[in-house]
Amino acid sequence: MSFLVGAMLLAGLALAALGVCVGSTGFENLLDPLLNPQQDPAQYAMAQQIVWEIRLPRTLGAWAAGALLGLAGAVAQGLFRNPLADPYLLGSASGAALGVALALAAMGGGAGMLGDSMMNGGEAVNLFSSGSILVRLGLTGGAFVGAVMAVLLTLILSRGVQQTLRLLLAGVVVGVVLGAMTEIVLLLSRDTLQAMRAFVLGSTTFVDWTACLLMAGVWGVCVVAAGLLGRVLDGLSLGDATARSLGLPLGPMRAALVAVLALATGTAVAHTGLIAFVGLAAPHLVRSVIKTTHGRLMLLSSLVGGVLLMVADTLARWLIAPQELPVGVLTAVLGGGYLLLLMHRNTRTARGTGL
Amino acid sequence: MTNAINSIAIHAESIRARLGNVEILHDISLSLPKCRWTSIVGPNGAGKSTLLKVLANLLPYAGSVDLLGKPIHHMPGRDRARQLAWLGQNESAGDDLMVQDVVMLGRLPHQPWLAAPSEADHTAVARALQATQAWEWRGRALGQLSGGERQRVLLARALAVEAEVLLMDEPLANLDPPHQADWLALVQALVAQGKTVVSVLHEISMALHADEMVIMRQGRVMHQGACDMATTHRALEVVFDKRIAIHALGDQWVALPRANPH
Repeated sequence: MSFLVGAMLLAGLALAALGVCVGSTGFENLLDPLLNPQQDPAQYAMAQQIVWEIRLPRTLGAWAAGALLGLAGAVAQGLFRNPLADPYLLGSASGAALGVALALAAMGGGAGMLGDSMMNGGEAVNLFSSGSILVRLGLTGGAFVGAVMAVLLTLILSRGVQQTLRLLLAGVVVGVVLGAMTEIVLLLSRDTLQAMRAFVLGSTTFVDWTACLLMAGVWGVCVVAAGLLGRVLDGLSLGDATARSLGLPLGPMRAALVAVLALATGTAVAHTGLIAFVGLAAPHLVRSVIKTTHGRLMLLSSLVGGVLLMVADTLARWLIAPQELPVGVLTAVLGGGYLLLLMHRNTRTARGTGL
Repeated sequence: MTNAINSIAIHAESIRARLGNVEILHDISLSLPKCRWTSIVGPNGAGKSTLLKVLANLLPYAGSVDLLGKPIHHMPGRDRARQLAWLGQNESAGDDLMVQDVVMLGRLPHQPWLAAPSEADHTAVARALQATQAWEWRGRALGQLSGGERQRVLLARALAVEAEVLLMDEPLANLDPPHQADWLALVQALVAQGKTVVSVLHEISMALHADEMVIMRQGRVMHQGACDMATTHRALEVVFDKRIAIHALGDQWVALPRANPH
């Protein structure tokens, strides 16, 4: 357990160093000038600016977003007792998409820039100009509010958290309906399509220090809350009745778990868009290595999620530099591939996954 | 009178319970004696499992249930959980949890929130695992065990609570004959220690080893009496449509199927 935590933290650090060295032109070692400022002051200043203002927040932001999604995935799979549950199950994804679509449609002008910088990491600097901060704030706020509202709507439709099946079904219905509403918004304002696609694919381009710190802060809160609720998930995995017979107050505990799920997912989605598969794959990666209690699973899954998204983010910048792949495409390919492997292994060992 | 109350572990009064829109239990009143093993039997759909859940306060119901002289409905969850352990039937089981973590969950009602397991917790878990011969699997995941092995781990989980009253729904499911015999010895040892055991059993011959028997049909209690009494045996034969016959064999009673009376 502590070995795995150490390994994940170490991998995170190594990837942070690598991430700092991958820019719009591919691999470019900035660690050298950074560590030896006397050699070439001008290069040092430039390296410092690039690293401090762009690459480091982005790289660390990718970790934080991945960690939030990994944690949310473990919470969702424990809460729904379903190994194919992912953080977006309660409608938060489509809620966030609708929020962003509405914000884009309302602002119109900012949309083009979002789409452009998406395709070319080099222009991400543009985002720091004064006008786009408001745009970004609007998009982030729209996504977060949308995600949380969607979860609330799901909770209202399922009449609380007592029945997980009803919760799951309500989440699906909310997802479909909000998805349709998003399509209508997009039809009515066609110029938002490009920017919308960037959001749906997910991207770490827009993460600055504020976003980074915010995500890290929320992550801290969620990890503590998850630690407190780990035993509830352990109890729940033996069935509702057994959990209740152990004296666990299921109603409030489920509500707290849904709150953690919504907060973690909403925060990640607001800053990086709909990044696919990290939340689904991270808990499975952990479980394929170690069987452990949910408290530890959630922490490990979070660390794995962070490392996963960091890898995807670095590859996204590196693979076809100076062009940049949307990071969501990479996580989908990596995660989808992993899921296929998992299914293949499950049919081979012919052991039910408890679906 | 006080004596009578003191010797009752669970007292239920005018219980009605429904699943969905169907009323499963119709006005059931019964008292289960303390320091005894009571088995609940009856044909399929008699409401045995539902009754057991109501007695454990796991289902909404109308009426009242007293556990060791106190209304169970008003007990804080943890207090109730320390005094009453429940082992369910066909509950989903956490395949990814390790056996010792599963059994440790039985200690949850005894542990302060977030506190690490105490020495007493570890002892209780080890004792429970050894009692069900599951000790050697403590490091394995529940999903890697067979049905019978898993049942023994879940039984150990219920034992680890070390509650005064233990309710078990079909505890013999998937157990092979040697382990059924072990379970019998275990229950008799528990009762000798002063615990109260209530079990729903579909195997009548096993159920007849109990001290007391509650016979149910269609949501009602048809008979309650000592297992070695002829009236109990006659009532058993009646609820099973005279398709079984109770015979004495040595110092045991066995239920054998009877061919169609015609």
